[in-house]
Amino acid sequence: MSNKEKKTKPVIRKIIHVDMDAFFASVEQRDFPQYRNKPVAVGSPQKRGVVAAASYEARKYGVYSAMPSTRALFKCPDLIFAKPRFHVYKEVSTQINKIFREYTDLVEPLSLDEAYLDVTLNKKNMISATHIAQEIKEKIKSYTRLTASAGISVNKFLAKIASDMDKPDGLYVITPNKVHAFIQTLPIEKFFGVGKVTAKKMKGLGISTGADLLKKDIKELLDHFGKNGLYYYNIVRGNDNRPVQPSRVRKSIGAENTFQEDIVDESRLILYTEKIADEVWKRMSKSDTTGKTITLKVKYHDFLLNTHSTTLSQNLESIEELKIISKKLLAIRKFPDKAIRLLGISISNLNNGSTETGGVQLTLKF
Amino acid sequence: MHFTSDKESLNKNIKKVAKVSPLRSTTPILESILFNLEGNNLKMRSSDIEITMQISLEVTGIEDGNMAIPTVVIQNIINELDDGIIEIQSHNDGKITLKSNNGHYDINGRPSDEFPSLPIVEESHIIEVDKSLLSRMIRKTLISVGKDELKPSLLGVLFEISNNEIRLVSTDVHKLVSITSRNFSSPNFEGRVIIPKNFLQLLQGYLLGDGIIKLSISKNHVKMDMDNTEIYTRIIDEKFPDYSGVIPVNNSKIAIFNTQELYSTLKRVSIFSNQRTRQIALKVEKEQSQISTLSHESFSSAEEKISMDYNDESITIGFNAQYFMDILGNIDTHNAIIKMNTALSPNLIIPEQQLEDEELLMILMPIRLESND
Repeated sequence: MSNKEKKTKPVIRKIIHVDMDAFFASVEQRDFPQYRNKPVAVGSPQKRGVVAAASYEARKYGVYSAMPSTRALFKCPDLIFAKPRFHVYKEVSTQINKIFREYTDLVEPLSLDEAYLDVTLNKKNMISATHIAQEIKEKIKSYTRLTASAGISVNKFLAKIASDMDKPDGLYVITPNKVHAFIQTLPIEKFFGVGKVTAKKMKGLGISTGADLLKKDIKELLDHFGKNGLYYYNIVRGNDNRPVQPSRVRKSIGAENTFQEDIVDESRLILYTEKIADEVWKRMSKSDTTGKTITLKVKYHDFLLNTHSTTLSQNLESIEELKIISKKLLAIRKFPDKAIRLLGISISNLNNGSTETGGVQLTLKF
Repeated sequence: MHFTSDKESLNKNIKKVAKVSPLRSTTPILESILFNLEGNNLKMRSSDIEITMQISLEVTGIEDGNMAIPTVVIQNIINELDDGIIEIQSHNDGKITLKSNNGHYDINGRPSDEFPSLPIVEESHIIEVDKSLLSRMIRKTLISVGKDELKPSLLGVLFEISNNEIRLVSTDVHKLVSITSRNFSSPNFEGRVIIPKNFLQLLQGYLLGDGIIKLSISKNHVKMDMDNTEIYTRIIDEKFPDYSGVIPVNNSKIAIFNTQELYSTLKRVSIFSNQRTRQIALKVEKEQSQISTLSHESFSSAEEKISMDYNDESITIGFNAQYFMDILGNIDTHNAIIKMNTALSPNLIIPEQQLEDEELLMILMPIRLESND
């Protein structure tokens, strides 16, 4: 092979996705022996509370994160509620990040308990990414007494799916020569970025697995899914060139929901708004971030998109506050009689764990 | 509908009326201009629901009728045509033909009966205001109109009209502007009405030059009538907060400063402030005052001395530099006055001399600095 050919041949990357197992709940079980081997939910048992994280014992009963606490208790009457201790989770997060950095500085944290690592080139000159992942898992266990699952593959998309394949305490590798076979058999719901609605739509088009998706040409995917069609076209071919970005500073945190069918009923819209707020709050808690600006995104059935926002003088302090504001924003939407296709809530003007708490802008008291 | 008109007059008036047409609306008919021909009188109307504009012009009428024509298309084509006579004709199938020296064009029209009708303005009261005065008052109050959709009463400017005084007030709760003129009389009407910001911005274009403008005020709408143009807006039907209660009266720490000098200092120092909070500290002392900022995030800091005429005990107050500059931009006199009380209370900022028959009051809320705790 000549030098020239070597240069043009694309480098196969080695990406690891590390995801702590039932993170918040595991920390509580570690620190409070009376919780061990028992169904534990981190969150508040109160009427309006939600589950922020559930232990594996609780998951057996069908308790999942973002579930309303009352429903969780109904499913599992013996469920133990532990009060979240974010400062502890943050400490553990710092510990595991230190371990990552022994191997590479290309670490992209997604939240307190999850990160991508690019170990194509690494500080220890190790060839095998699987060995690195193995070592990282062992170190995490010995330093924190917690388990993590790791997924290893050639890009972020596949590494993330891999880390979920063998949970808890898992290690799953999708090697370059197995990428295509793996994607072919992958159920369509497992594709990152395919939500419930898209999955349903895909099934309607006869797409149940990666193999089915692979058969669709670009034009058909673009016709049905707009610009997301291009994304699906690429990932099913194993093409995901997104780099691991170490210094990604979040500008906003949000969540949205495209409904199975357009909704016009106000009480259902309020219910969904609360659900989305729960999800947003969960994400904020996971990355230990809060912010001042709340934006509600409303997409009507005819794809008309409106956003409504408000900025507080201080950072959001509770899920209740977020819900009240979100519902107020919903109430002022321009077309209350039109059916809605999508609702989303995002928080911006984030503190990003800033040390610059700075001053507080005071307001006139009318 | 069938008429001819010269390009220049049509182009000029379509440009005006198109300003109200939304580019994209959930009610697609609003993305068009309604044409209505009666004899030689052509009326063109646009609306975004909140604001409705209607312009009349003389054309050569051939056949009466109505048709809504997509705004972007008609605006673009008329603008690009060579000067000369343009002929516009609607057909039964909804098509519109446009003919000029350049050629002929077919446009798909929209049924005119879908277009919202003109607001019904019942029992209106007319007030008359000097154009340049109103323009000045609107310009000064627009700087502090609120943006928070959860506080709808603050999304416009409060007009407070009494027999011999007009007052405009706006606030975004961080700053407040109140401007009163006694160069005004309204013998038959007294009242309060909140007028949306968008309408006032549009109105500014009609307040150039000398003369009087007439505004009709009714229960739900305000209407402006000038030359061949009528603009209607919905009123914000909310209760404006009691602003008089927040205007400080006991601020005894008084400093006088050069308006332009302070503005320039703020502008320079704020370059080094946190770009999100724009936070600066103003320290006012007898001999010499200073403005400083410190941003841990960008590892930057700045400090400037500034002379202020002040004879009280030293005080340090945090401000958003942008807000402070917005307020100073409203002051037309060489010197201005700031009346302070504590580091956490509202500050009153006024020109050193008020104009005759006018009172301009501005309030700026401070930022609580960490050192204030």
